[in-house]
Amino acid sequence: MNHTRRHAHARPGAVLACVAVAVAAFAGLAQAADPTAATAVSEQDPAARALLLDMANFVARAPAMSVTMRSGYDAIQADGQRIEFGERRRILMQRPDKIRVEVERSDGERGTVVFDGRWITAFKPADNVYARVEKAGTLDQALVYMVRDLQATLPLARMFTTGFPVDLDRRATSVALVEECSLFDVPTTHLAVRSADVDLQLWIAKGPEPLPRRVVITYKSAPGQPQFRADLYDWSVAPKVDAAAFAFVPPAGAEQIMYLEPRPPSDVPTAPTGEQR
Amino acid sequence: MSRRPRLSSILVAVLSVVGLVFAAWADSDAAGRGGGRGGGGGMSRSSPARSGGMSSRPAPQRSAQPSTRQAAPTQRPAPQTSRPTTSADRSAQKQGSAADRQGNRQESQGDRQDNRDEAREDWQEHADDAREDRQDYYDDWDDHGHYYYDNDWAEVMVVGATVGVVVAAVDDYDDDTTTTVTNVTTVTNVTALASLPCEAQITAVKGQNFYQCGANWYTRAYQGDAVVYVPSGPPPQ
Repeated sequence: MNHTRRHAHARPGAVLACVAVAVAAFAGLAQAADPTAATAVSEQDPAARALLLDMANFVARAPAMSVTMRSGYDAIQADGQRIEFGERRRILMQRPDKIRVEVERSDGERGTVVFDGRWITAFKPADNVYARVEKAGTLDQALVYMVRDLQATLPLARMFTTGFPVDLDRRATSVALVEECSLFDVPTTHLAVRSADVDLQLWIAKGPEPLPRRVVITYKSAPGQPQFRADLYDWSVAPKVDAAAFAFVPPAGAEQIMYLEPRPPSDVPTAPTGEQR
Repeated sequence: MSRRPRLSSILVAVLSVVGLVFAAWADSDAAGRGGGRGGGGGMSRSSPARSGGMSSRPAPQRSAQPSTRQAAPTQRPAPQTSRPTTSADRSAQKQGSAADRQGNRQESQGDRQDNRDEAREDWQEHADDAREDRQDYYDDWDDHGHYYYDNDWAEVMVVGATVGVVVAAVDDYDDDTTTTVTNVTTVTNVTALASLPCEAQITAVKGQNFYQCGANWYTRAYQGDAVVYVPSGPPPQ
């Protein structure tokens, strides 16, 4: 009796174990069949990298394009609080040597930057002032100069250079497919990219125009790991380009002021003791 | 007996209210003169994420230790002075002073060769480091998170200037130097202020505004994305 009873008690346990094994096996099978679930398994996905580079090549080879960028970034305060500030930019560019960027910050401040192939001009309508610096060359060269030397804020500037595909391929230590996303006006592919410096996420439109629709950058080495987030919309790779868009004409009464280039902190000898040296 | 505490309480309360009002006024005044650097309510807009760059290096490693790579060669081990085979060994093997001298000469030549090799290696390493630095400079051109100033002042260079404006230049050795900026390519170091130190008197001369605070004059300039003020000479007569 005792033996029989023990046997009877053991049977449901065995059945449960079998069910558990079967569920686990099915889950494994389903994961293997579903490419989106492969993210956790392999971060080196050649197909995902190919999608990434298709996007980069498409953007880099466009002779002209226009896009609106609605971006936000985290500013980590001294007490650790995370605050988001926002900006909206309308970007019109024509290769090899022209760009116009109009920006509006979340506090209402506006500005315009124009490069016409020779001059970089920045205009601040609220103050009715503009500054110019001569920098004849290509758009690639102008973007590097504006961002690196003038310290102008042009988010995702690297994306608008012709070297973007090579640069992205070299920087990306891993590329993974997260999922197919249906929340945009077009179907997109969500990619997760890692580099030594930043983690990057992109939502790339599926179809003949693989344009980035959303970009999130995490600065994992910076205190508080702040993020930059941008939605990119109103894309056109064949915009109507009016030459006047790249010719800056100062408004009436506008004052031309000096253009300053910040010195890197390491070049600065000592901090001033007062308001003025 | 009961009047004194009441009077002192009233006095403390009045002083507190005056103090609070004054502090609030000072805050609003500072915010009003704050320019575009800070955010509303005293929140800082400064962030390495602001630039949306795809490269980002921890700030302290670059700004605080610019010379670590240059220091590397001096940290190398000193040239090796004891050879695997010593002159004493050779002397014992060859049993002769001439052979010893020969051995010493070879030893010296070997040491000199070693030193030259070391020097060449050091030079090569230094050149590689310099090339790497230059490469970093060009590779990380969109990383200016740690260059972004959130201070009320910044050391800057004039790269695009207006004719005839006199700026009070920063000189590492002589703070009183002033330099006339006469063309658009002149590069002059100046100190830029995010806001004026006073409610300035404005004088317009030939389309240029000059801001006067006591004996000091300022003109406006464009830095990054903001309009700032740089010390200048008085407006031309």
